[in-house]
Amino acid sequence: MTAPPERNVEDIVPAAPASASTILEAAVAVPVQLQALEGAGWRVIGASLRGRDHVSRGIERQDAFAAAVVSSMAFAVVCDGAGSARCAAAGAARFSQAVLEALKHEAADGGIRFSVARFRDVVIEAVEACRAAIKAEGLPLHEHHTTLLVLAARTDATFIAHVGDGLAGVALSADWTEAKLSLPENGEYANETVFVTEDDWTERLRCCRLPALQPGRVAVILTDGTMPFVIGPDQKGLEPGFMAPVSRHLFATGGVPAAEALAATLGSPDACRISGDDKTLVWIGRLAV
Amino acid sequence: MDMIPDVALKRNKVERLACVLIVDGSSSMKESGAIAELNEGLRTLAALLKEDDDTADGVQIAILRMGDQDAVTELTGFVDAADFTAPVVEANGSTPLGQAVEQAMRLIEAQKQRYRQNGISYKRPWLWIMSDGAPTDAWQPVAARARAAQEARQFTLWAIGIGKEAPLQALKAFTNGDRCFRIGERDFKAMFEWMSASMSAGSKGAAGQQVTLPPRPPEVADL
Repeated sequence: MTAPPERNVEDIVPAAPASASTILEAAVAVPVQLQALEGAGWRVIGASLRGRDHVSRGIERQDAFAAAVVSSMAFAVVCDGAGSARCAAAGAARFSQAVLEALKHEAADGGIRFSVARFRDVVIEAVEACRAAIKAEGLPLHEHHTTLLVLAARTDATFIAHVGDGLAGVALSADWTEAKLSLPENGEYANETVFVTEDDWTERLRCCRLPALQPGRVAVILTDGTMPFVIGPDQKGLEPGFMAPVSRHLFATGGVPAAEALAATLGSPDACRISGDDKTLVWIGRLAV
Repeated sequence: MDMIPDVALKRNKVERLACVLIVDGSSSMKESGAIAELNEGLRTLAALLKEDDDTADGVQIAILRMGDQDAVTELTGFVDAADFTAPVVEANGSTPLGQAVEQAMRLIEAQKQRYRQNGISYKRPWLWIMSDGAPTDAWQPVAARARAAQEARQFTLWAIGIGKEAPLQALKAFTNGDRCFRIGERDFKAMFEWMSASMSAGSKGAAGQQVTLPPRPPEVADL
C-alpha cells in the first residue's frame, strides 16, 4: 500500500466554499456530497447520496456530513434528517457543520488532549448553540429533526458521540470481524429513532472512548441507509465483503477519484436495491508510516 | 465514475414488519360470493409481495380465519412474504371478531418477543381485520383493549367492511377513528393490491420517516 503525498484539505462538494453558510446551502441543495481530505497521517473520504425513494418522490437528500483534519486529529460528523421533518435536510447540514466547527476550534485551541468528558461537553455545547440559533431565527426545532454521529480520531484514542440511529465502527483486526461498534439506538420500532432536536436529547447522547486506529486500520461512520451492507452478519463486526475492497481502494487511490468511487458504490443498483434511503459513509483511514 | 471493484453488497440487516390478517370465513361470505373474491385476492397479495426484494424479505404475514362455531383458526403462522402461499379460506359458520382480534394481539406480542430475543429490528406491526357481518361474540371488551393497545403504539389496525351488511360501527370500535374503510363484495383485488403496496411502503420506511401509503383506490372507500 503506497500512500500518496500529504496535501491540504480538499472539499469536492461544495467546490471551494467561501463560508460556512455557503457550505450549508450547497450541502442542502446538491443530491451528492463528496469530500476527500488528507493530512497528519489521516485520510478521510466521505460520500452522501440521495436515496432511491427520495429521488422517486422528488425529495432532497436529508443526510449530511462534515469532516476535517486539524492539528493531527481527524473529525467526521454524520447526520440523518428525519423524513417526517420539513427542514430535515437543513437540520442535518446545520448540526453536522456546527459540531465539526466546534471540534475544529477545540483542536486548534490546544484541546487536543481532551478527555471523553470534554469531548462530550464540546458536542453538547455545539448542539445547544445550533438549537438556539434555529429557535432565534423563529424556526421550529422539530422541523429540523436529525440524528447525530461524531467521530474524533487521535493517534492514541478514538472518540464517538452518538444520538439515534446510524453506525460507527472502529476496525481492530485485519479481517474486519473484530471491531468496536456504536450501534443505533431506536425506540421499540426500527423506524422510530431519537434526535438531537428533542428536549431530552442529552439523555440519549452516548459518548465513548475507543482504541486508537493503528496504521493501516480504518474507522467508518454512516447513516442507516448504508448500514445493512456495512455491518457484519452477526451485527458485531463489519462486513468483510464490503470493507476489504473499499478500504483497499481508498487507501490506494485517495483524493477526488476515491470519493467519486465511494459515491458510485453507494449509489450502485445493488446498494439501492438493499435500501432506498439516503446513504452516507465517511471512511477514516490511518495511513501506514 | 465506476464503483469500487470487487465489493460484495449483502443485506446483513433486515427490519421486519409483522402483518396479521383476520379474514371472514362466515357463511354469509359464501352466500354473497365474496369468498371466491377473497381467495383470489389473497393469491394476488402473495404474488405482489414477492415482486419487491425489500417487501419479500421484510414483511412477515400471519392469517387468522373466523368461522365455524365461533372458532378462530390460524391458517398461516408468521411466514416471510417471500415464502407466503395464499391459504384457501372456507366460508362456513359465524363471525367471532372479538376472539379473532384477541388472538391476533397475542400473536403480535409473541412475534415481537421473538424479534427481541433474536436481536431483530422491527417496525410497528400491522393488523388488518375484514368482515361482512356483525360479530357473533362478546367483542366490545376486546375492541376497548385493541384501542388501548393502539394508543400504546403496540400495533396499527386497519378495519375493512365488506358489502352492504358490513358491521361498520363494530369495526370502527376497534380503531381510534381512522383507517376504517369499506369495499364491495367484488372489490377484493383492488383492496389487496393496495394492501400489498402499503406493506411495501411500510417495509421501506426509514427512521423518523412517516410511512406514506400509496393512494387508495376508489374501490376502498371511507366508512
